Amino acid sequence: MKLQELTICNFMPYKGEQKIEFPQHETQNVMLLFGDNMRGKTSFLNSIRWGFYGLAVGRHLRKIPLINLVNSIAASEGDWSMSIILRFSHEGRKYELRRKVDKKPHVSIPKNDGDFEETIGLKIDNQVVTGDLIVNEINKVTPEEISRFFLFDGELLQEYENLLVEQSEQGDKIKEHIEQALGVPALINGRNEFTSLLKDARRIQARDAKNSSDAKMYAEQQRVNEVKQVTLEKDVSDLEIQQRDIQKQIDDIEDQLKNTEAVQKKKYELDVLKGKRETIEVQLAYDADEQRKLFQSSWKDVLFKGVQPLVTELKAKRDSLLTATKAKAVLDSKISDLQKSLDMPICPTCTQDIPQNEMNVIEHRIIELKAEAELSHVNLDDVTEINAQIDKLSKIQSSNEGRRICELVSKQRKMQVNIIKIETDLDDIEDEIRGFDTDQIMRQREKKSKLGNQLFKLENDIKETNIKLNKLGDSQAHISTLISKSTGSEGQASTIRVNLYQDLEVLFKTSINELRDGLREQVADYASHAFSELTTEHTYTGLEINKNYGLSIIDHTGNVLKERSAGAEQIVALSLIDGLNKTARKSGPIVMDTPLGRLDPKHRGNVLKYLPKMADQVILLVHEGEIDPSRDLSHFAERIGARYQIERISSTESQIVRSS
Amino acid sequence: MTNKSDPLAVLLRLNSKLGKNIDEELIKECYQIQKEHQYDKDRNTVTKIQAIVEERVLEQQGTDLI
Repeated sequence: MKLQELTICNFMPYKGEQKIEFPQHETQNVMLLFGDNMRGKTSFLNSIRWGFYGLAVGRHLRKIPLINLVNSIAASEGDWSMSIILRFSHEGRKYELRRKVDKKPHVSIPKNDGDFEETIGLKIDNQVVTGDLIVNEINKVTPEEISRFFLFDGELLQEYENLLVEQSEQGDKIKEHIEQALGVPALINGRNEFTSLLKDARRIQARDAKNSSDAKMYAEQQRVNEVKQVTLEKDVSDLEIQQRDIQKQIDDIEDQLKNTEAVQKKKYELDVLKGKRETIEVQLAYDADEQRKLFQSSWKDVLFKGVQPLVTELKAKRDSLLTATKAKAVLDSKISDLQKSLDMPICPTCTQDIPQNEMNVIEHRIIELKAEAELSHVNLDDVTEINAQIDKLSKIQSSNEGRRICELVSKQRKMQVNIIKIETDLDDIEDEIRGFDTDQIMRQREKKSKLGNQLFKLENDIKETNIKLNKLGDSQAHISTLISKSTGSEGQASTIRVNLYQDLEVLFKTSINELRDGLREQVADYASHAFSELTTEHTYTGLEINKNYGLSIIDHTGNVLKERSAGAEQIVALSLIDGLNKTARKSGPIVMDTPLGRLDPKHRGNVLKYLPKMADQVILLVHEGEIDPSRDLSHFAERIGARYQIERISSTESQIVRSS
Repeated sequence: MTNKSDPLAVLLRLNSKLGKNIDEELIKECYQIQKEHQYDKDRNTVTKIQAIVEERVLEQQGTDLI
């Protein structure tokens, strides 16, 4: 199958009619549709899905109601019509599929899907296909069950990680989808129908056996078994209804919690910011106290500069006075010694009399010294006075109060700016989470946990009831054999029929597991090949597949790699998609929404080189963060056949334009 | 599609392996019906299967439906 043209009208953000032509070239088979987040990439994917299957899906593959699909601006203008026209070719034939909805004539404003009228039309080579055959014709070309692997949302790639968890609810769902895509339903449906036909055949056989004396007893046993079987089957059916109901409740809560995850994060940010604000406020109070203390003694810092030279001067003066005092004491001592010579003019060394002329010299010297001593006279009160002044002035000490106050003021200013920023952030966050009840979130978590326990119990009950049913089936088969061998039953139509259905049921049942093993092996081969081209770590030897189709990376020692990065997960998921696609169908397009979100540049380069080889047509819905047009297009420029851009008209309206 | 991943090939191989000896044509016919309608929403394959099997029942009884 090859997509040729898509015409969208009033679908989600696309108001009015918009036409997209898909590349038809064999090698230039890639179409790029660039669009920022919230502009309509997923809506584009959904427009194709809705066109083919009348279904647009959101998270958890939930159906989006029609009222949310019709462009809101058109609806507000009274136009509730919406349509998709898909032109495509398949095995040499041209298809034109039209799907349209409009509100029912008597409805003024639609409230649910029931208020809309849906029409579908299909032409094959210009021949109109009648209504009831349209769905079957579409399924022949591109079964809805396979759509998961060619219309896929890259943001959901992480779902495939659940395949690695044995018996996980989501893993089981995906496994079921995979097996539907791989053609296992042919055998599963066959087995189910043979089981049902066998039940009827046994009933007829038992009825016939009632007429035989040999087999009468077995017939009665078979009748009792049949009653038991009906009861057990009803039990399983009831349990499965409960299981689905509980699973739906869990999904709903998960959706709600997913939405509140952002609120939880914001709440945490709010608490952190409040903590920061409190710390700053404590610091501001402490600094204000410090500033007050500094102001109390700041006059000292102001006076200190003037007082300091005065103190130095006084100290110098005091030192000079003390030096003079010492000098006078020395002079007085010398005068005293000379005076002694005058008083007793005998030499103390030779005891001779000192001559008069010498005595005159001494006398003269004493006069000189006394004059000198007179000059060195110091009033000690002056020293005391200076000391007192020094003491007083020395009390004026600076602790750099001025500088420290300036620093504190600057610090306070910064902290106040921080507080303003924090308070702005707090206001923003409070606005964002206003209306969310965080206690309610906790209650929902508890409820989910309780429902999880109930689900676990139900799963066990279903398993046990199925075991009983299987045992009963064995017993019924055994009794059937006994009836078949009893006199008169052999060769009877009812016995032949039972034997045939029994054999066919066993054959189809056994073949399902055998086929699953073969398919897994093939998916693993294709996926390993893709992985070897996508990974940047060439020491990995390949991928190993589990019963759920979950893939593990095998390292160079042959062991399973236990920890995988987000990028590696995405590469493995893409490899699986490739493996499934190649196993499930011979040809067809792939439409991928945001497939490169978690990849580093090297892996992105590898993926971009490989993607054109994944299918005949590859339609990539990307934002410029995933594929940078100026840098990444070189990886596969020669494979690009068409390039479009989603342009924003308003928050609820976008337009797709072709770009060069 | 390899032998291991082809449902019909698996059915035929297991028929022989399990010693069921179901007529290969019957298996092929049953599988073909299921294959053609495996993705049909409103498939009514039971009656078709029933018709094929009933024909075999009559054959084995020695009477042909026609």
